[in-house]
Amino acid sequence: MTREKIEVNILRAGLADPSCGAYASFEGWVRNRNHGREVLRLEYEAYEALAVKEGNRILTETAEKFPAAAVACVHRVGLLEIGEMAVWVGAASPHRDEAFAACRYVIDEIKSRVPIWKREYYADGEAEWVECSRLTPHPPLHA
Amino acid sequence: MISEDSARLGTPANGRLLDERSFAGRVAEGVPRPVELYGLVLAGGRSRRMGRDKSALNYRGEPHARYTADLLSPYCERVFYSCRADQADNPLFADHPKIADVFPDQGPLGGILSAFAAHPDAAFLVLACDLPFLDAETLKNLIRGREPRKIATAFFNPERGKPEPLCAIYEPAYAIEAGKFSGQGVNCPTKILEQSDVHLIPLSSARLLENANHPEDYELARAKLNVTVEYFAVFRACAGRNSEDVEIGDAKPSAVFERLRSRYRFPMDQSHVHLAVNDEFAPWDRPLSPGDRVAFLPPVSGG
Repeated sequence: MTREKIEVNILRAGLADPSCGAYASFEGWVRNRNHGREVLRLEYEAYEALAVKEGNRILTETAEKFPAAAVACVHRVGLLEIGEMAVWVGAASPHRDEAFAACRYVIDEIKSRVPIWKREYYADGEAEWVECSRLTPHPPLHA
Repeated sequence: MISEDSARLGTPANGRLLDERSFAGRVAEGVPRPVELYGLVLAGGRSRRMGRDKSALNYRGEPHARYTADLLSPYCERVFYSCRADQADNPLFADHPKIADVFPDQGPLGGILSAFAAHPDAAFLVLACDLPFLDAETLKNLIRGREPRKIATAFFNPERGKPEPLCAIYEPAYAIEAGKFSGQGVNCPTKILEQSDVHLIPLSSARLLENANHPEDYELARAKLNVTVEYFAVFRACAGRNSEDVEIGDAKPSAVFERLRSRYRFPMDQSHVHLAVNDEFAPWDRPLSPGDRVAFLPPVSGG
């Protein structure tokens, strides 16, 4: 969890390993439209103590499911402008399949389980907490 | 005049004599030397009306005698449990030394005087073990208000119109004064405070020192105790605050949520919300304990 700009080079270097021939990463960027509305910026808020715990649990699970992959992730909170990076996931492994799969697993779990919330600021001056206005049945936060 | 009474007081069953010079001299000078403050949790009551040992009742996630001792620890050089001799082996009191009652069946005054018999040079911050609402803030106010040149510092309870003897600081000289009253058959610590020159400080709310004597008091006190609710995202926006203390009610998280949902018009019902207690996810049937930190989590939207 960070309030600062995410520095990918440093994070990626942390995964470097001579036995790894593959590295896959996911970056989540702030987009200028959502559900047809023009978005100016985003604010992310976290329940930090629990978000860090749950994030670590996801990484532990990933290590069990994909033992050949080394994974790491960072989520930014605070105000973010269009184009800025909100989340980064990196996975390194000897071959590409595990790196892709581990990376995908981590970002999917983060999005459904980690207590972080996004507020969209719109061009028309309104702001809304995302999800709250369009309630859909929600996957369990923890298995 | 002091010697007669203190001699009477100073020969309890354990035979240890009070050293009256050490504190009588100080009173005469009118300038107190630093006196160590010890904590004393009165845990030797018989709990007859409650029907269960009051010191073991759980209001705040642990036996209340322990909670009370933990409140004292930051402010007191040492903390003691005042117990009956037959409680000596009770594991509940294993975390602090005990002072056995040498004036048995004298009620709380017996416990207090037993403590002075064991440590005549110390002052004692005395607490009953049946005060569910007592908190650190109240103790800090008492300690801040302490007047060591008086024999005791106590809260004055405006609702009862009386001083509160079982959340009070007793200076060493109290033992002599109380011994005199005891010699005249007065063993009520409230009466002794009322009839002595003591320092009284205002009690901000009578509830802080309400005690629980009956099983109904226990249930009621538990229901009135608070959890801290932390708000996030849309709930924080609706509530207009980051957190607040909320009465625990029947201890069911769903009841607390429903109360807050209607108060703040949360835009979703419980089926969309997850519960966290003390920084960990929790099922909705988890009973709440006073002091728990509770968070209701709207659907997450990270990434």
